[in-house]
Amino acid sequence: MPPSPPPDLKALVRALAERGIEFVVIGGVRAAMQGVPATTYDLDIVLDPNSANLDRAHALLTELETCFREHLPSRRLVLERDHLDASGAKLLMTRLGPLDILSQLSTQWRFADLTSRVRTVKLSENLQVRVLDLAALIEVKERIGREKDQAVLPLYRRTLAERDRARADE
Amino acid sequence: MTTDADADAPGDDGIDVTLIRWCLSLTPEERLDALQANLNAIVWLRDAAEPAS
Repeated sequence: MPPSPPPDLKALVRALAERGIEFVVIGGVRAAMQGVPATTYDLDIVLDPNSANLDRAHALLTELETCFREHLPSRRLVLERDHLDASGAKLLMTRLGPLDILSQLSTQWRFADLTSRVRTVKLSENLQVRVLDLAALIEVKERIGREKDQAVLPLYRRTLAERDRARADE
Repeated sequence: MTTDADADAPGDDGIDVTLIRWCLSLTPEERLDALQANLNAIVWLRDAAEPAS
């Protein structure tokens, strides 16, 4: 099998933001963006479920040749617009790398519940991205209780403590 | 006698606070760049370790 290119998660975040798609970054990319020294291979997001937003997201994801990861490599099930209306997690592969679209978190929080739990992160002069607050992400990870989520909790908690300490010193 | 460096060394939980502080010193875009650079390096090393068949 030929070597696969690394995911370009930064380009994927940028593409979503530049197209005016409303979304919140959760998971590992979100943790990295707020200073957690950890790496990840995919981008996890929750989309604003309003119809126009899902139209925009689908248009971009079509350009990015998006399909469902679970059927690869034997079958390429292309992401259709209707799939974005359905609840549940969609584990996708785009030309820029793996993308997971969640309709709700383990805490039962949906997009509307996240608005009070997000931070807006400025990526460049004209580009801002909303990410789940680190304290809220810790709450989600605690609620999931899976081994892989429990494993990262000490690092997330320590980063939150360091961030708060640094802010108190300012 | 303990020094600041001792206090920052990984403790029983193995967490390296110096790495956290370095990450926190970066801007969000720089953190995303660092994540992307890590990914590139990991994939490059993986492919180097697995001869193409």
